[in-house]
Amino acid sequence: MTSSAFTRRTLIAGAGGAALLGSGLLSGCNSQKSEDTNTGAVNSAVQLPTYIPYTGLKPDLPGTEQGVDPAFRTFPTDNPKAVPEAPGNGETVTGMANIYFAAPPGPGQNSYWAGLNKRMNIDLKLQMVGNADYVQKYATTIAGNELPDLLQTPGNLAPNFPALLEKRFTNLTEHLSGDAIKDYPNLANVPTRTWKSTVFNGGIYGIPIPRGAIGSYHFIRQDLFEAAGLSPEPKGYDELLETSKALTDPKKRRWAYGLYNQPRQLLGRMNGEPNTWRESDGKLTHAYETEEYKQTVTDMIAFWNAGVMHPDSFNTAQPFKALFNAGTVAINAADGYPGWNQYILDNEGNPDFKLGLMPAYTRDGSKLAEWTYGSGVYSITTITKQEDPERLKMLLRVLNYLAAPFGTEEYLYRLYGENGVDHTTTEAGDPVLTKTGQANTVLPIRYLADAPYTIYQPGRPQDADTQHKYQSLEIPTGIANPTLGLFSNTYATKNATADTNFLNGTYEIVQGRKPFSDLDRLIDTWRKAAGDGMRAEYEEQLQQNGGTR
Amino acid sequence: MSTRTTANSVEEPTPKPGRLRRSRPGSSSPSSDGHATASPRRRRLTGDKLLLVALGVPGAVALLMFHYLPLLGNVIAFQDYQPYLGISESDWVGFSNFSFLVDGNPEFLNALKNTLILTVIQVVLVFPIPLVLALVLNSLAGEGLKRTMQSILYLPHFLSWVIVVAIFQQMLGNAGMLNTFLVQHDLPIVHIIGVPELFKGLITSQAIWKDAGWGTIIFLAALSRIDQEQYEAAAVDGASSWQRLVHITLPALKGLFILLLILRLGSSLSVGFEQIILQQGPVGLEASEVLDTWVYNNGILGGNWGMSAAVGLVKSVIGVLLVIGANKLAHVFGERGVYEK
Amino acid sequence: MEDATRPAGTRSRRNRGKRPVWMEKPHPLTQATKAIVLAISVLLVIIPFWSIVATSFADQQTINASAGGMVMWPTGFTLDAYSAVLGGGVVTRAVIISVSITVIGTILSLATTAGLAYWLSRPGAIGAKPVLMLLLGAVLFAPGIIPSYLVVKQLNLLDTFASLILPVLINAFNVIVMRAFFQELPQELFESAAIDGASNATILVKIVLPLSKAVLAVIGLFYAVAYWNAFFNAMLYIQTTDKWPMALVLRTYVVNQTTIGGDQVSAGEALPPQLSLQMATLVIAIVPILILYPFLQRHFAKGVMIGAVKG
Repeated sequence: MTSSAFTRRTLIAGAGGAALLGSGLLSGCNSQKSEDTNTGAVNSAVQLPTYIPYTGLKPDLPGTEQGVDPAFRTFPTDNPKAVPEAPGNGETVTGMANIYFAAPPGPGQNSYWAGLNKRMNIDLKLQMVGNADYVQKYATTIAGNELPDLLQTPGNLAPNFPALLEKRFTNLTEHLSGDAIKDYPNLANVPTRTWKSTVFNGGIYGIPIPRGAIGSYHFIRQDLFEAAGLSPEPKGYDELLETSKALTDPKKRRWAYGLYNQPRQLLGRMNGEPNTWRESDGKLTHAYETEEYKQTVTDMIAFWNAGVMHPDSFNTAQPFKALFNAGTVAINAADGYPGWNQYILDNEGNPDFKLGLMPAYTRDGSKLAEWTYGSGVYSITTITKQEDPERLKMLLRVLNYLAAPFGTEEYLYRLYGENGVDHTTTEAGDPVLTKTGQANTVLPIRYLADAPYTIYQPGRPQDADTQHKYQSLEIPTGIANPTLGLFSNTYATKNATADTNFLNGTYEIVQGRKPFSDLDRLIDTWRKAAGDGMRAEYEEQLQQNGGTR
Repeated sequence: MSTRTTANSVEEPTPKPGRLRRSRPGSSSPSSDGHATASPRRRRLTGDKLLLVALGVPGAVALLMFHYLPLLGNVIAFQDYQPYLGISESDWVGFSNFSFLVDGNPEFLNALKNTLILTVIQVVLVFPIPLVLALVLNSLAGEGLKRTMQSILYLPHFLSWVIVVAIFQQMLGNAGMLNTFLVQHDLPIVHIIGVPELFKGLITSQAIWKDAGWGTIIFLAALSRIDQEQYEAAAVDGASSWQRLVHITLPALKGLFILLLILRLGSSLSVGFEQIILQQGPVGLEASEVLDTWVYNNGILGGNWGMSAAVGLVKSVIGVLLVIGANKLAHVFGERGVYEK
Repeated sequence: MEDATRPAGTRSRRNRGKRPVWMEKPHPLTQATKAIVLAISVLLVIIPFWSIVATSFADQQTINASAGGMVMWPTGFTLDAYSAVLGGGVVTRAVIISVSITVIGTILSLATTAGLAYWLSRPGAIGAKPVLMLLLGAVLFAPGIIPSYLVVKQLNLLDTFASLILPVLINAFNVIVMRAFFQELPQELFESAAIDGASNATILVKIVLPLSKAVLAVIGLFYAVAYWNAFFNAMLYIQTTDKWPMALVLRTYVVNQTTIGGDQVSAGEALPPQLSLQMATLVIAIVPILILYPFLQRHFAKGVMIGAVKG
């Protein structure tokens, strides 16, 4: 019964009031619209940083240019130094990033953080915001005019993002383009395909946080497959359906899938849907508009009716990971691939647990289906406009330090902290976090800069082989999203809503509340709401680029 | 709240020497000396009136500074607001953010319909429940029992909606505890969660479960102020317990109930956001979209701050009209309402 | 003195729990209905909460056996979830911060609210009507987060504890309710005091407040709970993790790692199952209120009108 003013405030976010108090305003002329400054023509003219892979350590299983991640079976015993000099001179560096864990103590109580400051010779003041709240915090920070030096952009770019970049953030082209990146060798280690996402307004505006091209894995509970005598590689639609049925037993509270998106992704790949957009001759068709998507929806109806999906699969807050751990569901397709580490750790106490990976086959089972690459970028870190060019260089050196490659001395400290305090080392050479380390090392510096992903599971060298083999299998079949690196303002402003409405409509169809023919109406609505707008913007940029970059 | 019958109480008070003296009924400003001390008394009275204001000034300043000053920011309802531009540089677009009112947008109208239905349910059904519960609790004989019951019943208030939804899911979901029990005994499962027709009932039950107990607190406080002597006097006069309820208890709570009702009407178009948005997926938008979720799905998700401020303003204006209307109605019935004439 | 004239709740121990002399025996049907209503209400609350507590003590195996959901009996009993949440060192500090903010905030809020409510409750007070309208407006119109943020920033309150108290010092709803309670006090009290030459401040402190223990307890509880559970303002205004209040720390346990597609880089060592972490978090957040409530509840029970006017 108490006042709901608090609730209202959090929900119906209003907007700026700086004008009222007089100061803190941006003076000057109106900013240009994004369409004028962020054209395909200027963006394609940008020379991306030269890719200079780090050769100081040799992985047990090498990565490929196409996107297979390198793998290490054990942690290297030799940890070369990747950054000879400390980046800073005692300056204060401010930053803001999201955090997925409970916040660590500040540098006063956190020897890890204090040690990091000492090594970099800076005073790092990092604001941490829970990932669920990050978008709102980001918006208020932008409105507030006082930006930290290093700012992580949320995954879904803000509307008018290019205009925002130009106004408040530094154009880093002269420092990073082409061979200029040689000043920052660890940043040069970041693959070229990820830099595409940082180009706006004809310049490089941020540092990408790289992620593997594979994007996701099809995780399976191999132990449950084996217990039911099933092959972990069902080839084709019929076999997949049969396997799913065999894994389902409502009386025992067991289903094949826990969440709508999981069979959807599997079937999508199986049916040959494009990676979000299909490009041909400069024309774009969205996955939703394709015949393959219609086939997927038909398949989803069949799967739902077959009862192989958890009854609460349409619940967006479904704790699908917990269900997987519990063995309630056996297949977690379309789950982020770094989840491998977490699943292994969560189930250490379960000797029966066996984690496997399931490839995707075409409908008739004759060959592997085309894999859809992930975006390869988690977020980009932008640097606020700096008055002092030397300070800018210092910030880049800090980011360079934080991007030290896997296995280097800096990386070892960055992830595992001080030996004896934050981690201990097993006989095989793998670092194991102590309780102190666990609490202290979660500092989200990995969202300011990070080394490219490396497959490594402490204490389990076989996992490196499993994952590397899987990636080597799937990556060559992969197709990329042709709009990667292009900015569409319609996407930023209208896609989230249009997409939600579209998906909600498909849920109704799959559950049988609406007829299949309703799908055409949904596609039409989606086109009018966002689809056509996005298409027009992307196609224009593609045309100016002369095809996909 | 207690009635003012003590002035008519049977006994004569024994005046304590020196302190409070009873004034004669009907006299307005008692003056012991007449006009001999008018000047200093008047000065003191004025100074006293200012002191009265001074007591309230800190609160008023806080209110103005932290509530009304930011409220001016709602001017962005008339702008195409971009956070990085601020108010000064964002374009002015007049009333175009309000176009949803006249657009005939079917999603908006659906959201409006759902909101109104839920509002009526909440005001008519949900709102009185804490009162009834408070009466039941208050009539419990044992203090310890009363206290324990209260402490238990208000516990759900502290759970965030994320947890409440998760709990309902765990208990009543299609694979939840109830249905697992049924399945294991070969009974057909009951679909509660994820059924569009039952959605409004589900939302309402959740709201009751979460806040009914907490809502009793304020009524219990009011009930505690009722003079027990009145009950005894009425009982002696032959009134039954039902009559005592109707003629003593309920009138004592009437003013508070009406006050809370009027205030509730002020926010009547806010029927729940977090609770609903968490559960929209399984039931579809047609059954579940309300104004707040519509604004979120169509405004905030796309960074359309101007439009969400516009909707907020419209909701507030409607709330104002409802409050004014309800308050006038209260006056007609001789009640004080929130503010007097 | 006869029992019936004593305020409810202060009956002698011998008679506590017994009906007053004048009350007739209640109808068995009424008794039964009340009992059923209460029993159902209580069960509906106890069963889920039992499950919450049980799940907070459950280990991974137990949760697995329950299909990844909540459990009713923690067969695999463990304190891991609690030690994970409480052991970080961050929580201890955050609890101290939260307790301080709650205590200081509640006292300040009660003082300013009472002052404001008292002013607005006196008939004929200067400027009362417009301010009352402002209060009503505050209930009806809510400011957005960005303007609120900018105001706090302009006042240089970012990253201070004041930013967690001042913006929420006055809750308009609470003021209006307290005003209504004050208005119900008998006018004779004020008149007698005025004859006696008492100033408004004296009346407030010596007469009104002592007679308003019930509403002060209730409004105080409302404010205290609001301060204790507030995380959103902390998320917006606080920039150093060392200043996080407990509610924000605990929120990160509840909502993080639940977003689909979020980053899933592991922490390096097995954490207790997420569900038990969430439940442990809840229990930790609720326990202090459970401890506080009985102390306040005492004041609801006292009927405090008697004696003031007579005496």
